Amino acid sequence: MRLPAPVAVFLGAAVGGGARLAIEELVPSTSGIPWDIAAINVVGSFALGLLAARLAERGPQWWAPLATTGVLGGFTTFSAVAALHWTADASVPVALAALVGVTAASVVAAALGWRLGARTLGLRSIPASDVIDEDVL
Amino acid sequence: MTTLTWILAALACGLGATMRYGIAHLDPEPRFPWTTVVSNAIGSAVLGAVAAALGSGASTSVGLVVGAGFAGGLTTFSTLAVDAVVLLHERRTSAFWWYLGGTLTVGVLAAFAGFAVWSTATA
Repeated sequence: MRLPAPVAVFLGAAVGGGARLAIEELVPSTSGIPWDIAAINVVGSFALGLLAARLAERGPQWWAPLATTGVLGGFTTFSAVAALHWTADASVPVALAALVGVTAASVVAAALGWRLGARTLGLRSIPASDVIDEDVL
Repeated sequence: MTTLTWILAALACGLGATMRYGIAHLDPEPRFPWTTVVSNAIGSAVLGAVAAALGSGASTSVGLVVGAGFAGGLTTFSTLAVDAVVLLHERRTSAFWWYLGGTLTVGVLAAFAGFAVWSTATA
């Protein structure tokens, strides 16, 4: 039985979000930079980069709404990083540094995931210079 | 966090993600990934409002369900990152910088607005 896409997104995000909440619960919260949220976003971005490379090659797949918009979209979160100053009493410079840092790390992770996915599939990989600022690594 | 709160927050995350899916389908073939910017902005505003509500005595469980659950599911970092990589892949460097700069700026302003509006409305 194939689930309608919105139902697949709902179920996938409940699983991804449930996992995120469990990790946040297990990792002791600290004021300042939320390393658990940062790691969740970087890992989720890497995984979505890998899946996106596969989807770019093969076209739409039945599992795409479940895994991409659902599980990984629910697992990762932007709001927790954007609102850090107000949710975690992070000072403005720390909150902005966390936002820029998590964004940069997630984009690099997604690019690496894409390259790995493309290489595994034998796609023409994107030159690293197009994706990653060499200074970042 | 009780098991019930965890389950409710996970379901709220599903609801937020389904809303994000709906917003994405307002423009299925976008030239620029503006629908992700919209979802991330709305979710950041919601979380900003939740932070204000928690500050004025709202229960932690409500904060987890609406903030970490619903706003967490409505917003996404993975799509943001992959959208950006796709723009680079298409060699659209200025769109890449506008997308990241725009998402971060709009997201922080939305979180501030959500916090300020809730604080003012309930003061």
